[in-house]
Amino acid sequence: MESIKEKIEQFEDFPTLPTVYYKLVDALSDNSTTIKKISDIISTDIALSFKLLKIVNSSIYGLSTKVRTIDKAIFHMGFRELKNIILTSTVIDVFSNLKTSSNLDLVTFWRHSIAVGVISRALAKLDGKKNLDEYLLSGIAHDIGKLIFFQILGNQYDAAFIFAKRNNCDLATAEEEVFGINHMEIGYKVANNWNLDKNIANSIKYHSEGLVDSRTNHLVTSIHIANILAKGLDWGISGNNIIEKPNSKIWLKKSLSNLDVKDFYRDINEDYQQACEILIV
Amino acid sequence: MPKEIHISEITDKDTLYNTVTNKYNQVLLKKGTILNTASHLKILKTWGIESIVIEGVLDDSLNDDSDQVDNELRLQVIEKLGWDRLNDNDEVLLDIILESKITKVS
Repeated sequence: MESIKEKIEQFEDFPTLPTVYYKLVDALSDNSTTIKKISDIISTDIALSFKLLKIVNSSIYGLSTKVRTIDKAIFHMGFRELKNIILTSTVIDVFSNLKTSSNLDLVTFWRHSIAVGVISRALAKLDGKKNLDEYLLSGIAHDIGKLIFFQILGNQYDAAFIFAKRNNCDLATAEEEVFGINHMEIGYKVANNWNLDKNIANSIKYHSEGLVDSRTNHLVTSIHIANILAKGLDWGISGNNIIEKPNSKIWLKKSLSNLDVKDFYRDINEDYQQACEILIV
Repeated sequence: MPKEIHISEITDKDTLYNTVTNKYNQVLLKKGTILNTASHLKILKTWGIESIVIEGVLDDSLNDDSDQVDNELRLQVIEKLGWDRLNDNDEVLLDIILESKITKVS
């Protein structure tokens, strides 16, 4: 008889991303592509176009002038960033019909994920990183393995939440004990199935540890810290009350000593509220 | 008012405000324990506990009402996190969460 672990490991029926995303990826891989061509593809999806403009005009981007057309939005973002922002705004929709249980409410789950994205993005901005879109996307996607657990097992997944509560442990540990595999490993499979960048896939797989094969990685470290902060701030609910202790090794290459606490909190709070308003409909 | 102190600052007859547990969540010292540096300090050091919260300390810096509120909130955050801050970066994380609590109160 097939064990639950085998059932999970052999599962391949991952959610598919919207057609517009794949058309966009195809167009972006063509070196001769134009802004107009990309704009035409996005404009076929009115809801997506509307959401994209809201994101570009939000405090998260902080543009000095209001952008009213998709062409201008692409101009401000650039192609790579555009791809990740489109993915950011569609990944939540992909799971909109998923049935979870009282242990994991979808709206509060996404609020937590958005919080992780916004906070990690803010941390990257402080460190002068340019690829901020990767941080937002990684935060939003970091826990998708939990949703895949529900997709594969339905309410059987509740056993992990019950185990975690009884044993006062984190959910990943509970998943390993009950099913022999955790949501980070499953999320990593989804990321690969979706052809996400290796860096983003690693942030999903290693966000709890904060290191990639014992080495520091800015994106992974930032998601690790942001996950702790989002839980501490009670921004959304990840499905588990345990707030992980920061891995002390991450501080060898990362310092928060120059961070102005009041300014940082004010900024992430504003970004968080706006991002939730835009991304969770 | 309760106050968080480093274990090197513990004096005999300080009273423990919170139950202290180790990383396996086993109770090392119960809330209300009257501390004895000769015996208790060794337990705390063995398990790598760096700071504890004690009762009834009057601190000049807490005379102001807002400082008292901040200190109460700080203790709530410490309890919520459930782990010891080992360095300045850990402290910054606590401060960010504390800032959100202070903002809500004010």
